[in-house]
Amino acid sequence: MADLAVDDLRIRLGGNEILKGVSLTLRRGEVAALLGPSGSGKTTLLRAVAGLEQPYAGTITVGGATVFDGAAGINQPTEARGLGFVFQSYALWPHRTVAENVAYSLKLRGVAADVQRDTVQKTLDSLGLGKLGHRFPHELSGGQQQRVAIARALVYGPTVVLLDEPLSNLDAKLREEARAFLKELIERENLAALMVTHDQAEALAIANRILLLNGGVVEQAGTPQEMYNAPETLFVAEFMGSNNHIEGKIMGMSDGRASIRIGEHLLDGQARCASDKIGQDGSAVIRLEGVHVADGSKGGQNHVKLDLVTSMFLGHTWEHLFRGPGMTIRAHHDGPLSSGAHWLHLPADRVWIF
Amino acid sequence: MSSAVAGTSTRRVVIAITALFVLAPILLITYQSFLTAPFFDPKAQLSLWAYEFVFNEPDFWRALGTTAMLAVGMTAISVPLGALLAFLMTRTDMPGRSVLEPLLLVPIFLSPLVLAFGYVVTIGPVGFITVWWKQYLGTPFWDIYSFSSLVLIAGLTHAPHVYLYAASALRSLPGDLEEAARVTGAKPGRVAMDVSLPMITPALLFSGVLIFFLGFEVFGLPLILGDPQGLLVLSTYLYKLTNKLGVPSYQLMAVVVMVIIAVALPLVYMQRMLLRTAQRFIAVRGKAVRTNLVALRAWRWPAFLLIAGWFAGTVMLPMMGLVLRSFVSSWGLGINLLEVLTLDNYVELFEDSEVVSAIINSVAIATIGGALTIACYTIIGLAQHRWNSAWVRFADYIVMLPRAMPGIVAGLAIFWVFLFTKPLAPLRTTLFAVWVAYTLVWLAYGLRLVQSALMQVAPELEEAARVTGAGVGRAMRDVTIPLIKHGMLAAWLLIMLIFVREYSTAVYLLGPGTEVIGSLVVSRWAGGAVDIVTCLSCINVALISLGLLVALRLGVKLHG
Repeated sequence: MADLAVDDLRIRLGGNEILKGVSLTLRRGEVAALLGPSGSGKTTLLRAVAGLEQPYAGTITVGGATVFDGAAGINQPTEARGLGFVFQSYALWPHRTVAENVAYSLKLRGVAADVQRDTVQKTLDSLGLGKLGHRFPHELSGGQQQRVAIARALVYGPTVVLLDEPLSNLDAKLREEARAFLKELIERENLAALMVTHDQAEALAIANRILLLNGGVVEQAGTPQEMYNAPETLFVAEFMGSNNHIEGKIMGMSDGRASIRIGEHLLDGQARCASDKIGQDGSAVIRLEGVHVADGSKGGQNHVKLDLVTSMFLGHTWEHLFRGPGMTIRAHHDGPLSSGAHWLHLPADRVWIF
Repeated sequence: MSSAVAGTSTRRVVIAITALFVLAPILLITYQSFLTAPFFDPKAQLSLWAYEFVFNEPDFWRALGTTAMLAVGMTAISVPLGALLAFLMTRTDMPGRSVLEPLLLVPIFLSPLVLAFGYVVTIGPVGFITVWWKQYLGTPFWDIYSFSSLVLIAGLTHAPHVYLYAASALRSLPGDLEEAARVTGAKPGRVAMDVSLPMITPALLFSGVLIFFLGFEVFGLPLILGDPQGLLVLSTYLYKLTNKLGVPSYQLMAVVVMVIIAVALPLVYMQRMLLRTAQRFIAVRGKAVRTNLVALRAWRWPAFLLIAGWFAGTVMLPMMGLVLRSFVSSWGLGINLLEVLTLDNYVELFEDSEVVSAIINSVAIATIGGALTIACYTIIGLAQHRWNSAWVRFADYIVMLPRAMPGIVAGLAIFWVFLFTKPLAPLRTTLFAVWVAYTLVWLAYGLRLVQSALMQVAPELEEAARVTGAGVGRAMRDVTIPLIKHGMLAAWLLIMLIFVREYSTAVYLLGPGTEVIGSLVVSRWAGGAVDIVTCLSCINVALISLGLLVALRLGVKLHG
């Protein structure tokens, strides 16, 4: 049984439909990432699960108990939902020490003072904060503050934790460490975690499942691999990864394959559109790492010859920019290239045609 | 859906009580204005008689006209002067800015009544300056009791209100806007006219409306300076009406109050609208770094002298006169100052039991009463806090209403409410009635102080308490209130200053047990007791100065 289930949730804020019927389920040991551009409703969804936003329809179930049901008029207040919530800004209470911040939820639940102390210390220890209990939040580094926020959310043992862009306030270096730490923690504690992020790399790295939201609906949901390698719509394809986007005219379609005409070139690719688009304008999308520099080849299907415009060294690879009539393509390649024209191979199984 | 918005019923009750507290006096006044006699008179009947009577009174129309002219004149003096002060203080390299800055706000915290006494004892017909002038220079060229003097003094003493808003608008003006104009080739004067001034227009407009509105409210200055020549404004006309017909003419007073509220309410509403636009202009960007100031060059010292002169004339002159007068036994032409110096006035003062209890009451109502007032405002503020509801919008309008009641009107209204409501009647002659009136008059101001502190609490701090399991009330108690402690302390200090300064509100409530410094000096001045009035005024100023020093020491911002 799912530890968190959201079904057909709808939210209207000030006359705007923010969520237009969103569903998801989540089990212990799983991390689901809510991904999407700003304004897609991902934070609203997270806050609605916590009872901080008011849906007008749909249901939310936490650990089998219905906490919201628009039709039945059930609406548990935030404090009765028993969730863990890590805020983007951490929201540590500045007037309480670290230990007091963490102990607050236990105090509310009437836990005896000595048990409180032990539990808080154990939680702080497990997060590597053992000696910081007496400090105030402003005396901690950003990474430590984030851990305190996590400790505060977990100390009373909720099964479902909600994380609102938990890594966005950390600097780039720290963020990668925190990412691994967070994933390990969720698996170790066997939590069901729902996490909002706008960073697709973060979502791919941490989540077991990604829900990509767009305009208040789930555009596509699936494992990180599915989302990255098998996007169903142009929006998903473009949102995940770095892409080349080429406009053209769709010429034919058969057996899940399609071909698109771009200037004098005819590209084959995987069809991601209905057959009634034949003869109409379409787009070909290919990831930067899908393009191969094929010098020495003599052309052929899905080969194009373009001029190298400029090159950028990215550290682990090079990015080259090529341009030809009606086509601009960026490609990753593991070395520098001489100036002039180069053959590029756009393998048909890496090209999606929308 | 009721459980998620837990605490809603408590919020509703608080807002309902607030509404009752605000509306009861207004409704009672409205009702009284349509009666033929005081409401307690069994013969009182509903009619428009009182309106007809007042509107046929030439004195009423004269008072209304004088009030309008005073308000216009004040605005015409205060706004340019205040804007100039603000420009010199924030945008130029004028010397002595840091010394002048706290001083500029002093007139806001001084009682206008006390200032008026100060003017009378210095440049009144037998004031110190006047007498010396007569001795050495001949007939003085001024007449303190003329209308033009009244307008001038009112204008000069109200300039700090304009300064406050203009300066904060100028300060938040990003320096790069002006620099952009400089880079494209504009000279400093040109920049001021083309960029700085247009950018602070909303603030100036707002303060203009505010001053005009305050012009309708002034009571102390016209009471002291206008009365000897029979110059009445609406508030003093109302005060004089008290015994117009020999019997308490409540119905006539109620009509005058209705007129005052009818004029003030649209002005209050306008201020609210304008303040929003003004703040929108300010809120565009955060704190800007002041990069360079306009060099005044040869005008540096004249500019300094202008401000220093204004301060000397508006604050120093009357204050020194007051202090001096409180230490002489009598004063007039031909008296040698050294022969009349004495401490007797203060000795006598402390033998007068009414005066002593007025001082004690003033301090009590400012400290204990002020704390209770802030507690009430905090409860009202919390009831509206983070609650998106029609109730909150309703409460927003309700709390604005008392702003349209000048102190004297609110005091009268509360007096009537206590007279009208039988269970409250025994409390009328206690300090409680005065406290209620003060709390009503300063509701909008004090609530704004509390609300701005509440607004600074990041919503997720409260939400974090909610998700860990605290209900609405518990989250407020454990998170919100501890976080606004400093804001509440600051609000308390400001309210203390204001309560010590207050004079008009308690005028109608004055009686044994309810005397405060402000209302007592009004009545003693009418009795001609100059010695006691000047001593009490000095004590009043001393208390306020003490409070100001504490507030500045604690780093309280002197404006909400």
